[in-house]
Amino acid sequence: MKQRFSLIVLLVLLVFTTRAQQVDSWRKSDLTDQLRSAGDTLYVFNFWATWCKPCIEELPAFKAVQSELEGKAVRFVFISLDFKSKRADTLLPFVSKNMDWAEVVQLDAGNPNDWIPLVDSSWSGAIPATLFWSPKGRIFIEEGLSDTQIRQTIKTLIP
Amino acid sequence: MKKFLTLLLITGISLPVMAQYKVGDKATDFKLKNVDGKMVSLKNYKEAKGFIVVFTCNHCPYSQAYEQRILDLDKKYASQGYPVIAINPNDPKIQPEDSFDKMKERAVTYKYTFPYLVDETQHITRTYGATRTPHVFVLEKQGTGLVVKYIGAIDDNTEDPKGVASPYVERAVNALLKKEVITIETTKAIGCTIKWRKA
Repeated sequence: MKQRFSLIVLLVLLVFTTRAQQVDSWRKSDLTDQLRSAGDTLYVFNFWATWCKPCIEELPAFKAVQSELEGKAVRFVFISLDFKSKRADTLLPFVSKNMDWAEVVQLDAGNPNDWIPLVDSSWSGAIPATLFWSPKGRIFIEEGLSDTQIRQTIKTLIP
Repeated sequence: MKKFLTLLLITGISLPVMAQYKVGDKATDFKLKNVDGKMVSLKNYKEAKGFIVVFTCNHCPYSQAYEQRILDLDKKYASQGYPVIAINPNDPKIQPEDSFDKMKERAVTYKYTFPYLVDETQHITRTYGATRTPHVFVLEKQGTGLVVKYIGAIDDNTEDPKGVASPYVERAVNALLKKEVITIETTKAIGCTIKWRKA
């Protein structure tokens, strides 16, 4: 009985922690589907990882611009390239603590040589890297960005 | 092209003049300082048939994940004429973990069997066109020169060495040793950006 109770407590805790900050896992097919997204939305896909210093440094800029654009048809997704083995002990705690404002997913897409070119043919694979796209065009940038750079890029692409 | 220029304007990226190597290009030799303080040039390797040049560093988790595999490559191929030459391209002002002193420590701790060179001016890194760590260039000696034969990742699974299906560098070097055609000459991989010196 006692055991069952602990189990329930554990489950409830689990549900709550998951709900606090959900981090979906994207397979290659999910990435492909998402990259095909259309409609009058501007998508911002930022490729990052908890261990990537310049990635962490640009997060405040993204946070600021995202909050300025609240209500607008702009969707920011922060696609983590942290190792699968680091999900529980590194990625999830980092996201809960620092990225409660963000939509974060973890990429589990297999051989990078197969999916990197899907994001952009010019991408060498270094992170940070960010893809902006809308019906007005697409811009891919393989370096850390300032809030001004993010704002201006969005301005040229916003539908 | 116009879009590209607009992008440059938008992002304010200043592109350094960079001759990025492609497979088939002639590769330049270099003279870079090793962790033992001596200068290393490829021309000093009289017996070598070629080289496995790896741009790598201390701090990057992707480099660390490949550390044992880089050691294994040297163990397997140095005796067959393709030694590993590791080059740290990063500016230690931006990434203190990649300082020359820390390079020395790392080479000792992990018993590097290959030179671990520092590209202080980042000239060789730019000339080769390395963009991340780790980033591999397999070179073959042809006459008195060197030709780029493979550019890219070590293999297709950074996180799990047991899950590797395509050991790209091994296959490339095996093909060179057997004088066969390299089937996959370039690959892309996730890695840490090179920490360029601020102008």
